[in-house]
Amino acid sequence: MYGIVNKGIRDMVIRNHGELVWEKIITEAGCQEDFFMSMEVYDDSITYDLVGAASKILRTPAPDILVAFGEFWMIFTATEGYGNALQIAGSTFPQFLDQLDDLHRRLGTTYRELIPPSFVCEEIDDQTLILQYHSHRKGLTSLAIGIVQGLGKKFDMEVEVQLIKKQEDIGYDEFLVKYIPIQKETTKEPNLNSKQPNNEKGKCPFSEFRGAN
Amino acid sequence: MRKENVHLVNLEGLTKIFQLIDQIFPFHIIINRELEIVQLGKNFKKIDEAFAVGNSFKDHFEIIKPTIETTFEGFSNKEKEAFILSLNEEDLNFKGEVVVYEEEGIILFLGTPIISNSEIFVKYNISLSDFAAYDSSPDFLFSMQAQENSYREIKSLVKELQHNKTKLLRSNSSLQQFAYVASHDLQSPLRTVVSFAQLLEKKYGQKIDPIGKEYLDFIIVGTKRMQQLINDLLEYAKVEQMQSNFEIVDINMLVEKITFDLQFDIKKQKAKFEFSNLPSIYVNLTLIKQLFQNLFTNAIKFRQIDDPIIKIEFEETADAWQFSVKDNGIGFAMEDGKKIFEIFQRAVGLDSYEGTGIGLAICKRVVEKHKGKIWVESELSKGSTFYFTISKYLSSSFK
Repeated sequence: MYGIVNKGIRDMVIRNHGELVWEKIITEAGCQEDFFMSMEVYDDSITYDLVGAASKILRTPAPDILVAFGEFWMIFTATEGYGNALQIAGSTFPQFLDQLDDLHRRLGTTYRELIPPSFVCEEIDDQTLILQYHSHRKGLTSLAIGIVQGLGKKFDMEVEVQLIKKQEDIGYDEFLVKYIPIQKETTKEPNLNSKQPNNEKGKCPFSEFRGAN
Repeated sequence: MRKENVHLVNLEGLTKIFQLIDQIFPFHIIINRELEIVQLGKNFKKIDEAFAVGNSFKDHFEIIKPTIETTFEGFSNKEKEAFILSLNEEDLNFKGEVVVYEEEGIILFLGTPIISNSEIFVKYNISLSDFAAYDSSPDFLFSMQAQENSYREIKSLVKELQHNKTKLLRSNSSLQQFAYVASHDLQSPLRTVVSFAQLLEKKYGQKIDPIGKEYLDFIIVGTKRMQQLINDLLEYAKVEQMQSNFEIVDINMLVEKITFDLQFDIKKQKAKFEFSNLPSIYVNLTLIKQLFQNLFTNAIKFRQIDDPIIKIEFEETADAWQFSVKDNGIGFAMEDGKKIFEIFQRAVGLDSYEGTGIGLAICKRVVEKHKGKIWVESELSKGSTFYFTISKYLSSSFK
């Protein structure tokens, strides 16, 4: 995986738990280095080891870590400067999901060794879709759930993701995704990284990260 | 070739082709001989509602490149060239090329927006799906971002490295200071221990039983050994602390001077030194003298039955002066001598020889201060050859 993934895990741990906990995690993971270059390709095992170590040190099940990381990923990539690029991938939640493969394909011209997962969407109605998650990597179902949830937050959507078919049974995960816009009055978790807590209607949620470095 | 094919069809016949063009070139423009817009790519309406068939090309666009008169003929003359069109009074440009259908009197501009930043997407309401799959224009954004990220990462790494280097230098300096002060201050109480132990032996030796005497001997030998270690440490610390300047030194004369200083040992051991035509080089005299002296002393000390023969040779490389000091001494197996340049470390099997193991550590430090390297090739019972280099590119002083 590209270093940006491990860098994201590092960033999430440090933001939420501090440098000391991150040091414990890399020691536990047996990691030789604690700095990851975004454009460098690292062995997948490093990422799995980091998640395993984080699970142990934080006493949190690995799937929960992956969900949290998936949600954080949307914030992290935006703050890493990709907010700009993400703006072009779609202005609505289902459109963005639908264009993820195209986004990855285009990213592949820069990240030549990128082996991204594939997201195939089938719209059921204007608040429901079926999402297929194809990944050649094992055990990342929870990460996909986190990414979808994180994406929902970015678009001010309340998202419910339900796993309906599993990779081990059919070769890919299939989710039923329900999404409804969050009402302004509805209490929601504060988005720590948003400069503006509520997106204006029609405004791309990633635009707040333009130029964020 | 293209024009010849078009001769075969009329405008009605082009309808299907136009539909195809719209799919493949969602940012295309077709204009007629009067420069009226005949057809527009589907995305232009997203950019501006004002775009409409029948409008004049000039009402919406300006030709940035090539420099031509905005007429049908102007386009026709530059058919094979790259065109850049600018949206009037906007910061959106399009790059592409034109195809002229002379017979039908139409011009096709086949192009795509120039993506210089993501603001364009937001401002003109364009998204990834508006680009044909083959069109790599939006990919440029990702590439640009990746480059920016890499640059930022490298900048941050360099900053961190510089910070760590400063911390390391400060810490090293404190450690050296500590080693020097500690060694210096330890000498005085140690001298007192040795003196009084010797005094005890001298004045009360008769009254102490043999076991007590043996214990006293242990104290004296141990404290003397400790004195030696402290002295060596002090020597090492001195090398670290030295702030001298470099100067041109004639190594021939230096070797002669050192062998003169060591003449007592040389005569005693019947050692023979062989050297000639050594160069004059830019070094720190005090340190380089210590380096050669330590190597010579070792070569004499670790001798075999045969009289010691020590050969000093040199060769010039592109960046450095490389010296070698070869002896016919006892040598050692290479695997036993991995740590010989580390402080207080000696080759395995040399414990019966006097010494603390500081000499080669000092040599290493001296060489490092001259931006060089030191290494050894040795074989048990066949002698050793120590090599070291001195950089040709030393600044006038070092820290």
